[in-house]
Amino acid sequence: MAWLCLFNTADVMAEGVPGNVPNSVPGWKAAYVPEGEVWKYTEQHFTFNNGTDPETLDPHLMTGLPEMRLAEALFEGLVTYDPSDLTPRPGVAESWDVSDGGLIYTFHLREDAKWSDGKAVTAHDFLSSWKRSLNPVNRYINLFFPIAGAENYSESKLTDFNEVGIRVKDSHTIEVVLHAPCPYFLDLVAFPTYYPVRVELIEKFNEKWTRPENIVGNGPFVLKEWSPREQIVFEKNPHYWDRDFVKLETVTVLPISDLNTAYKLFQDDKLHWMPALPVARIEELKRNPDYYVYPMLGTYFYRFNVTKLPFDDVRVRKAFCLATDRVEICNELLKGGEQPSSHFCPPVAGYKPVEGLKHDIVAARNLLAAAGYGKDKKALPKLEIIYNTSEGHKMIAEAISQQWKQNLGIDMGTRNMEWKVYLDNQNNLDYSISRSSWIGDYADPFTFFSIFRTDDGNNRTGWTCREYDELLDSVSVTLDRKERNKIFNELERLLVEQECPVLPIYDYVNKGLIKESVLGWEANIRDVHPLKYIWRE
Amino acid sequence: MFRYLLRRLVFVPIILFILITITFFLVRMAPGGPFSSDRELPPGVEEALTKRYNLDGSVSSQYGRYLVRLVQGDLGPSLKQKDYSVNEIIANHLPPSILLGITALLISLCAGVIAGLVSALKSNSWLDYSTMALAVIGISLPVFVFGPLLQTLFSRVFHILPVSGYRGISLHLILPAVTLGLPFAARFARLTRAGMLEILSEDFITTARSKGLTERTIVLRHALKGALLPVVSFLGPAIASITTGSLVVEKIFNIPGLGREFVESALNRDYFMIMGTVILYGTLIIICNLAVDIVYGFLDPRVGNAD
Repeated sequence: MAWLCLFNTADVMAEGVPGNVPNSVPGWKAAYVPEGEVWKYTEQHFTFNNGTDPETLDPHLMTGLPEMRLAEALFEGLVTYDPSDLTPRPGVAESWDVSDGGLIYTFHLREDAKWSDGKAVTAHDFLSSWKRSLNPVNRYINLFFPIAGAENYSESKLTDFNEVGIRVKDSHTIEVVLHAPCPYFLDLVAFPTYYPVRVELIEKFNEKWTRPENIVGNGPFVLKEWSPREQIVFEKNPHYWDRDFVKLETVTVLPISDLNTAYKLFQDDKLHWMPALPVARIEELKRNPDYYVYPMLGTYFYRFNVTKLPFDDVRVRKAFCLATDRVEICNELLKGGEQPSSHFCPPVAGYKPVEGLKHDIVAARNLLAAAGYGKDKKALPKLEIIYNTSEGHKMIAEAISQQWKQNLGIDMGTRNMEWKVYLDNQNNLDYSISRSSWIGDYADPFTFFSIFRTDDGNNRTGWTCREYDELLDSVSVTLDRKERNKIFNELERLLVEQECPVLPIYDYVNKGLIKESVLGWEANIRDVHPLKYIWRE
Repeated sequence: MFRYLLRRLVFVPIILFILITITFFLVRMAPGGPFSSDRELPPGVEEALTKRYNLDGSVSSQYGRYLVRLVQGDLGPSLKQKDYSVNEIIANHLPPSILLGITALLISLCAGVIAGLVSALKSNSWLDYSTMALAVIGISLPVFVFGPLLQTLFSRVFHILPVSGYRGISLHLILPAVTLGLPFAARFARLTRAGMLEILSEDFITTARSKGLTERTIVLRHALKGALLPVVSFLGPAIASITTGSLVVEKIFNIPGLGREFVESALNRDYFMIMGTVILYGTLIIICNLAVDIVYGFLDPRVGNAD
């Protein structure tokens, strides 16, 4: 099964609702209920390769996808993601109301939600968990900042937690007040940062609270075993409110970082899903019937340092963008289905990106000449592309520097750096061109455009633009989808057509191998695949 | 001999102290810190993390606090593997490394010494040339080629051994141990051969021959002990390095060993983990070298007598 188009599978499944679904199951969910009883005769055990051991199982400390994949099995937020299109679906909250103007969210918790030790999950659990999570040791603390007072509280400008916009109405109702409308707020509530935890157990066990013998969660699975670097084993949680829906009995998670080894296990049927592939063998793997590829919410791009010669001149930046042939990079070099892009934000939540600057050598040469560089004119200073050590980055940097040599007659060096050194150079603007990437945190273009605000810590180009900042301010108070997307288009035009502090190269794709016997596993742009929906045939 | 040992033992803590001090300040000089990432930390987060992990204040005051905890046996928290302390990580990952290392060492020692002896005794024959050619291949063949080659052959083609994983003493151990041991076996073979050839040309062997002793007695009773001296002195650092794991072998065979910690802790600027691995490796090297010196004393009567 190979998905080339994203939302297809969901549409098809929604039509074909099986007949044996009880009426209590809502329509969107009925699509994931297995037809017939065949699944009962298959061993409901699922093994996948996570590529690494998790850095932590504490949902309020985690930062990476491998950790979040595990957290969503052990915990459940008020809201969960729909596995195919990531629409917010009921989790611990049975339903929610949003006030006119989008400032107040009232969540109604289900009565039957329980912790894995049998205790009821209440609104108070969420309150104490969010209070714990709203602590600066949590790197994703900024996901709370749409809530009134949260940012001030985190910076200790506000000392009374009661003044933060979170209210417990009764044991099963919680109300959240935002300081400004946030159209993607429900998306945030589904993030691990907002998961409930048992604060009193954390106080008792400290950092050992995530061990199998101590951990208490409220998700569809419980942690049976965690042998670091060997395996993690989940078992179905008998106290989970939606236990009848969960089909898998056990899940084994392997931390294999050598992808060739993982592939051997996959061939031996000892792995059912591998979300990362050995890049060197992509041609061979593409012919495998279990191969899949689909768009991902991430972009691969180069940053220009606009504070240094020659990239302080927008004409030079544009010339470099125009002289880059992304199609060649994707089709001749990467060959893994990556989408050549001259936009910055991939299509997401109805947003259509702008054209950007396509490959145009003549225009590039003219711009460079206009800037006073080139034959018979001043020479460019010595330039280098820096990248963090990796075969793939190296390949792309060399190909692009070759294109610039051919198209613009520029000698461009390439230099690899150890990860932390590279980050240091990027942060201190000690580079000319720097390889970069950005993966969206939530399904809204804001997660992409907000990073280039003046002085944002993620800007890292030295670029400042008042018009851009003002547009960002206006988009964050605009609720209307259409209106928002229009402003996002303006932002993107500034970013990749007019000012060009960045040179987009391609949109990331998710690619991997999944056995045909695995069902309930859906393609989506965030590479989120809740284990709750997965079963084997 | 006893006084010699005692003197060596006194030096152990001093050497370790110097090692700890140099490492502590050296890792702080590397660019980038444990908390830097491709995503900027929200305001206040770096400060809070620094405080939580006791990394606030001047480096020398941190050094003081570290030493105080170290004396109590506390190696500190891991900054990367947030749910575990350095003590726990070493306790979790050292045993698989030791088991794998010892298995690899035994295999390589047996294979290497036998191959070296055969080569030396049949020197300049086709047997010698082919054994030594194999040894050169063994030294130069990278582990990341040899390991996957074995995997493909024994698990994908013949289906007799598992691809990867760790189950204690089991079939899972064979392929990684052979992979890890190959370069060592080759080195042992060459050292044994060189040592044996040197001894066989010495006067006392000629004397033994002229007395009419059988070749068997000459080799086993008189020559072998001396011929193995270079092997023994190589054994010290070999034990220390083979039992602390290998990044590549662990990755290929998914072994939960310690080798990865050495490399990854440095890349991640996981300060306390780096210290932990350096202290462990340093201690092991010192102990193994000490043990080698003792064994040397038994094998070579000239050592120790000078004392």
